[in-house]
Amino acid sequence: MIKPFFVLVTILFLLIGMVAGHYLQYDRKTPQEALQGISAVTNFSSPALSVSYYEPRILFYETASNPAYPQMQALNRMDFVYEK
Amino acid sequence: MNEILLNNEVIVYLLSETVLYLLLFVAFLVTVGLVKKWNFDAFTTEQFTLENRSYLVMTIIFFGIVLKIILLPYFVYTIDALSDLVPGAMCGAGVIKANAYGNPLLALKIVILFLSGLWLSINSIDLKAKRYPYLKLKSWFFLFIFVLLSAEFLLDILYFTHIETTNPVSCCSVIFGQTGGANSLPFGLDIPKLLMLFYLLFALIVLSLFSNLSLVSVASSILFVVVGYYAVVYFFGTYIYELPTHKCPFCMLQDHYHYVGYAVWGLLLLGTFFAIDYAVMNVFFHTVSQTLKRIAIVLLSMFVFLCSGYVAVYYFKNGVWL
Amino acid sequence: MRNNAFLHFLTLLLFKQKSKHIGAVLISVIIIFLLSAVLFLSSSLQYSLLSALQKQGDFVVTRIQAGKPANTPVAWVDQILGINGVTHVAPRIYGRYFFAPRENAFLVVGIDFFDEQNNQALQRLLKDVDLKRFFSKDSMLVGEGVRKFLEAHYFKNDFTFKTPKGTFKKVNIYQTLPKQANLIDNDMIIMPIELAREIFGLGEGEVTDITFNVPNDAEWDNIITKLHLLFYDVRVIEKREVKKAYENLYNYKGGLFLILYLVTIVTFMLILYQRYSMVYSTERKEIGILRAVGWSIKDILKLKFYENLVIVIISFIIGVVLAYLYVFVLNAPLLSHIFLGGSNLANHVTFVPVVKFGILGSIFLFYAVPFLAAVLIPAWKVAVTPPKEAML
Repeated sequence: MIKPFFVLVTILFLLIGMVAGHYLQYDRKTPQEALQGISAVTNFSSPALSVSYYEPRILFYETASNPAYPQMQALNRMDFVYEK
Repeated sequence: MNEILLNNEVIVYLLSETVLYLLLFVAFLVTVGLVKKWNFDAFTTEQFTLENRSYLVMTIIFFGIVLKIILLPYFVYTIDALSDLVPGAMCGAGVIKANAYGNPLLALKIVILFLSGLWLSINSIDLKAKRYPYLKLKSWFFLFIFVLLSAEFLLDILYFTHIETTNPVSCCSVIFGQTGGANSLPFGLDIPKLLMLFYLLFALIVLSLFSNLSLVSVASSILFVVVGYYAVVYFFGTYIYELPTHKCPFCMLQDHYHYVGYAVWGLLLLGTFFAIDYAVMNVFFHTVSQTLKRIAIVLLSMFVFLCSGYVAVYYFKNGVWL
Repeated sequence: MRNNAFLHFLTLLLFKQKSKHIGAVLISVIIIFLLSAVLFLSSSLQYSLLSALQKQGDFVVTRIQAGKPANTPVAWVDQILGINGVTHVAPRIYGRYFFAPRENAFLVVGIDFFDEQNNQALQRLLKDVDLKRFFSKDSMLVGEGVRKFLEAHYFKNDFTFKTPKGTFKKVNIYQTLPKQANLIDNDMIIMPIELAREIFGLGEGEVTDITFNVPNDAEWDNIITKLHLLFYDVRVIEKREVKKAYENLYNYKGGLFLILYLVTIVTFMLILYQRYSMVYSTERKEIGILRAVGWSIKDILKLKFYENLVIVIISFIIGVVLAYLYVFVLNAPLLSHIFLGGSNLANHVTFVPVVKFGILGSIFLFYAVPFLAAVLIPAWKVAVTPPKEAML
């Protein structure tokens, strides 16, 4: 093993170590408690999708389509990401 | 389009299998040429090219086999991940039963791995010799394996395209449980006899390996795979799940049980493979490798200790048997 | 460090031919980065949603009229309470309040603050809620995104809602909901149920839907049957259905993404194949020298294989680490818009790091198998060039 390669490998291991450190010491409890608190109070667990007024905000509860008046859907509709 | 084919794991798996199959197909074509025209004593350009080509075949097969070894656990993982999509399935057991192709596919995969492992061993002794003495043999052997590989690839595609996401499948407790009332163990065994057989076979393999009774160890290894499978599913598994009614070879692969299933099945398959490999090499090619023998014994002992360990730990914790 | 001659030579070669490898590494890093960023983000969202779902009520019941959800009579609460095994029945009013001047909408949720369970949950969520002060005037709890939006529009302490009757209702902003829960409460406003009824103009004795728990999950199917016997115009949403939906949330879409990605991978394979098939004369000469000093074809193939394996592993590590930093440290700017949308209030979510071993394995296979397969045949071609020919 030549020196530059050794340095490269060391840097990579340091990177992995940093990531692992971040991953392990991350406080998962506080956000989880906050999320569970909200869903306990409101009984909603749907993500706060930043959607226009005419789009469904709560996943799987409501559908926005109007069967009497089909229309071309806008590309930035969240239905594209979350359609069942 | 089938929803199953849009699953991440399935796409990755099928892509890897396809790429591998294409490469192996190239190797197949080259091997056919090799088998036809190989003559080591000829001093022609053609023979020289053939010798070079044999390296291509060797590299491709080596690459292919290493990847197949990685892809087997990945396949099981994929099946497990699909249990979220297929209604009724709690683990891989239901998904693999989702159509008639699942179980043959899994069995074929294991057989192919055993055979290609043997191929690797033959290859390594072939390369050590100066005149490629086993080239014809290993080429024919590869052609045979390739037929199996084609069948496997076909089954892969048939299996994944025929999983229905609308038909409910049965859960593992239905498939393996004794809800039917009948004894599901083969040869009319019951649990104590099965366990006796399990430990006796293990002892037999170890003894026969040490005393170089090769044929005995091949036979006992093959039996051990079967008996080990039933022992884990119907006895040791219940201690892993800590539930006397839970009998399933797939649930232990889930994170709830710390993925211990990969270790259990991996150790069993690898251990018996090395035992068979050692014995076959000993009988047919008269090469004795002490390392192979040691690896086989260590892996098999680890397997037996791991299984027995679960039982012992459970007994120490709770003071009762299941 | 232990110095193995082969390893020494391998690394020396890698660094000497830096320019040859740097292109492949760069493209690989980009491919892996994009792929793993998307997969990391979706698995993190999924993890958070599933953990939030745990505390949600087991069932939601709404009245259905002409195939659409309609307002549910409050009287149903007592009827549902009459079913054995049901606990924690709570009426709920929710809806979206449209803020016309900016064309934005908030999710207003009205709950019963005096319900014991709700009260406990609230106390746990916000450590210092003083109900007396809360009810001294009309008050509400707002999410982080709502607060920022209102502040930007000069509603510092209160906000005036317009009711369907045309009257105005001034509501005091009592407190902000915890920022850590931005994922679900960013555009949310929580207020007492009567206030919400007034703002949305629901009739007395009407709510949007009713939630309840059934602690014994063996009874779930039974309860559904009983509900359908009690009411003929209901829709029941079960928690386990929602859970299943969350588990498959990114399955199909992720798959489509991956299929599009196949095109990239195949192109990349072609590039690699081309790149490695073009053997420069210097490289040929090197191989020739190696063969001449006694390396066998097998040794050279081994060298080439390890060379590419090192490249694959290095790019994989760099790509994944970059994606990790991008998603979990920088909180995925731009990419988070795809998953959370950007046409309403701005949402700043901190993503909880979730790295599943299976996902890492999938990414590695998806990239490493095509990569190594593409260079295999070119590498062999180089390795078998006869030394005499190469030295010329």
